[in-house]
Amino acid sequence: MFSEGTSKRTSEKISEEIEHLAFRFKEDVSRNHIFFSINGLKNNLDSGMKLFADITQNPIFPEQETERLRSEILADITSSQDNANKVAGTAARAILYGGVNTEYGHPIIGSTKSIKNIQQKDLIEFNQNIFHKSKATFIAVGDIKSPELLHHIESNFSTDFFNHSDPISPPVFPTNQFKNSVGGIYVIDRPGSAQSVIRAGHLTIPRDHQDYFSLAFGNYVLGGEYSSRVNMNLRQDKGYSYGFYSSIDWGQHSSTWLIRGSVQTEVTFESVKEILFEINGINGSKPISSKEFEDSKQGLLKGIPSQFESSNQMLNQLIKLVQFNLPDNDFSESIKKIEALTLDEVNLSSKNHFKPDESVIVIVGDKEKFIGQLETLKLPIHIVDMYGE
Amino acid sequence: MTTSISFEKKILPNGLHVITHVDKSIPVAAVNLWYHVGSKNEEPGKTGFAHLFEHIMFEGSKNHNKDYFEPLQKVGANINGSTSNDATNYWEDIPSNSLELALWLESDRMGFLLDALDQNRFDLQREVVKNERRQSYENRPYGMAYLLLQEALFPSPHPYNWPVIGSQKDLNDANLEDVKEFFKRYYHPNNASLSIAGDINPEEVFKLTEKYFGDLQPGEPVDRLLSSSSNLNGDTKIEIEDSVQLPRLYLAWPTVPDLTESQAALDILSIILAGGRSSRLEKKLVIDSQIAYDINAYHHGQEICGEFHIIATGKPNDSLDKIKQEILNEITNIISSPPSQHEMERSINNIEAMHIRQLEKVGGFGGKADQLNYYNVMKGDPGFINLDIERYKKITPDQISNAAKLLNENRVSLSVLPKQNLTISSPISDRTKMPVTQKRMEFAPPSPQRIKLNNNVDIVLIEKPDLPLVSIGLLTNLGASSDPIKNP
Repeated sequence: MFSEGTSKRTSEKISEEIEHLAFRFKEDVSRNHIFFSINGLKNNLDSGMKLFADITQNPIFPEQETERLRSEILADITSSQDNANKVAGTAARAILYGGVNTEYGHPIIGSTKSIKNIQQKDLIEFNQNIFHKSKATFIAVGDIKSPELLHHIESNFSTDFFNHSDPISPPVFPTNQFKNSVGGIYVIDRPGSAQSVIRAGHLTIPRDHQDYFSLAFGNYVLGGEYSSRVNMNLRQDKGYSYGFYSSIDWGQHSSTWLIRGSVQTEVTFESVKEILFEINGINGSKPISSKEFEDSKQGLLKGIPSQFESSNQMLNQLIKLVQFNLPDNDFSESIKKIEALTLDEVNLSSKNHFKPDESVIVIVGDKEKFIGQLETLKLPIHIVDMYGE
Repeated sequence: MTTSISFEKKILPNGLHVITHVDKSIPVAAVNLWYHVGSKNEEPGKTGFAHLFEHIMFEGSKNHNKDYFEPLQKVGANINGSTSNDATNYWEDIPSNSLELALWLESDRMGFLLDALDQNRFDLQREVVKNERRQSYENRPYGMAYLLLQEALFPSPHPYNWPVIGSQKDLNDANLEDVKEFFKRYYHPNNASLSIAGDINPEEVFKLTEKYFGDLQPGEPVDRLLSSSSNLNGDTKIEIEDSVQLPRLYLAWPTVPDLTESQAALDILSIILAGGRSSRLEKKLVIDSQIAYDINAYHHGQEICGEFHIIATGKPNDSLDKIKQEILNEITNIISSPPSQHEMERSINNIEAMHIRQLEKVGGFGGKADQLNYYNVMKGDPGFINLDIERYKKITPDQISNAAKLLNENRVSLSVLPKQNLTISSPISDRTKMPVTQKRMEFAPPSPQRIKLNNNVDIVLIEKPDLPLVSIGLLTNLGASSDPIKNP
C-alpha cells in the first residue's frame, strides 16, 4: 500500500514516475521484517531517491486504492488455493507453528476473512504503531560512495523520522512451550492431481544457535544440492520425481526445516517411505561418510564467491547480516567456521536436530489413490484443509 | 552511458566457435555451450528428443561414465541447462582455476556421449522427464494452456507445432536407436558455440579449448531454416476447463523472426500495452474499470517466427469477452494513432535498464557468456551484444503502429475456465584422466561499510562501481509477526 499514494503524489503519479525512470520499487514482507527498496540506473538516482523517500515517509493509504488492492489480494488468495505447491506450503506452516491464527503460523498474504475486514484506519494505525517504531537500517549496494549515499539519505529523510530512542521488538515465538509433538501425516485431498506435492520436516534451532553451521551442513548433504541424498534417491535412482531438495528457512526464534518436491501420484506411498528412510539416515542410521563430508565441504566453500556477484545477491547478504544482527566481518568469519567444521560435529548435530519422530509429512494429492497404503505405515493420519485444520 | 562488452572470437578447424570475455570481479569462470538444436529440429511423432538430451547429457559419457553434477559440485560450481524451440544450452559457473574440469566434461559429452548411453540410463531419464511434464504443466494451474496455445499458434507442419517437452505418448514410444541418430545429427563441434567469460586469460582459454575440443569429429552441416510464417488463419478459439477458480484469457499472435526491426517494435509495444501500472491496458482494465485482476503482454523472440502474447485474469463469474474486446480496441487505437513520445521514452528506459541489469552476471541463464552465445548463434556475431540497444532507440512511434498491425485477426484466443464441480475439497591428449581438483581460490568477500546516522539508524553499504546501478533499501525489524492476531 505504500506506493498507492502519498501526501504529495497520487498512486497513478507514483507508478508513472517509477516506470518512467525505469526504477524498480519493491516491498518484501517476511515474518520479522519489511524491506522497501529501489533499484535503477545511477543517473536517475536523484529523482529515484526523492520518490523513495516520499513513498516510505508519507503514505496516506487512500480508500479507493485500498479497495482495488483488496480485490487483487483476494484474487491472489483464491489463485493460491489452486496451486498445490502453495497449498502445501501454507498448510505446513500452519501445522508446524501451532495453527493458522497465530503470529508465526498465519499466511503472510492474509486470509480471505482478514483481507475483507481491513480498514483504512487499520493501515494508518499499523504504520504508526509498527513501522514508525521499528528499528530501521538503510542498506545499499552499487556504484555509490558513502558520502554521496549519506547526502541522499540526509537530504531526503527528515531527522526525526526514525529517531525513536526505544524501538519495539517483534513478538517472541515460544519455542519452549511449543514442542514438535505434531508428527504424522497430513493429507489435503485434491482429486485428479497428476502428482502429489510433499513437504516433510519440523521446526528447528534459530539462526543464532551454536549448531547453525553444522546443521546447515547436514542439510546440505541431505538435500541442499542436486547430488544430495534425497534427489539422488527419488529422482536419479527411482525416477519418481523431477527433483527433490531440502532447506532450512532460518529465523530469529525458530527455523523451519522442510524436504520438498512432487512425485507421480502412483508412487506417493513409496516416496513417503523413501523420505522417512532418508530422515532416519541423516539422523544416524546412515551417518555422513567422510567422502560426503569432504566433497560437501569443498563444494560449499568453493561456491561462496558466486554468492557475491550481482547487486541483488549482495543486498540479500546484507539483509541477512542486519536481520540476524551479525558482525560486519561475518562474511569472512563464516568461511572460517565452515573450514573448521569436523565430520563428528556435523554427524552429532544431524543426530540431535533431525528428528524422525517429530517430522510432519504434508501431502497434497489425490487421496483415494494412496491413503490405503499410507495407513500401513502406522503413523497418525489427519485429513486437513490448506490451513491445516 | 557506455557499457561495452569486449570479447575475442575464434573458430577451431573442426568448426567450433569459441568466444571469450574477461571480467575479474569474482574468481569464477562461466562456461556456456550452445548447440543449435531445439525442438523444431524434431519430427512429428518423435518429439521431446532435444529436451530429453538435456537430461541425458548430465548422466555420463565415455571417460566420465557417471553423474556430471558430483565432480562439478564438489569444486563449488553451479550447473544447469535449458532447451527451447531453437537451441539447447549447457553452462557451468566454476572457480576459475577449475576451468579445465568443465572443458574436459563438456568436450567428453560432445564427442563421446553415445559410448556411455544404454537402455537403463535412457529409461530412467525418460521417467524423470515425464515427471517434469507433470510438475511443470499437468499439475500446475493453467499449466496446460501453453501446450495447447503453441499447437494452435503454429498449425502443422510448422516446426514450432509441438511443445519442447514432447508428449507423454512420444516419450513412451521413443526408442534408443532414434534418439542416438538425433544426437549424431545435431551434437557436434560445427553445430555448437562455446562462450567462456569471467576471471580468465583468453590466450590460455583458446589453448585449452583446442586441447579438449580440437580432436572432436565435425558432423554433417545442419540446414538452416531462417524464417517460416505460421499458416494460422482467422481467430482460433479454444476453451478449456482446469482446476482453477479464476478464468484467464490468452491471446496470441505469430509474428516475425528474432532480431528484426519489427521484433524490436513489438517488444516496445508490449511495454506500452501492458508493462507496468502506467501501461494502457493495465490502467484501463486493472486500475480503472477493474474488470481484470491482472494483465501482461510480452513478445517472445524466436529464430524463425516470434510470438506476441497478452494474458489477462478475470473475475470468477464474469465472461472474458469484455476483456478481449477492450484489448482488441486498444490495438486498433494504437494502429490508428501512434504512441506518445512519453510512452516511447518509458519503454526504452526500461529496456535499457533491463539490458544493463543483465550484464551484472558473467554466468547462468542470461549472463554475459550466455548472451554472447545467443548473439553468436542467432546473428553470427557476438558483438551484437553492444549494438542491440541502439536498435530499440531508433524505433519511431509510427513503426510501433505498423508493428501493431501484426496483431490482426489471425490469432489464437484461449480461455481457461474454472472446472464446474472439480475444485480442491477445501480451500584430449589423455581424455580418460579427469583434471585434478584445484585448491580453493583466494577470495575476500566484500566488507560492508557502516555509518551511524543516529542512535537508532545505521547505514550499511557495499560499493560496487563496475556498472552504473544503485540499489537502496530500508529494512525494518518488524514484519508479519506483528500482524494483529485477531485479524491476521
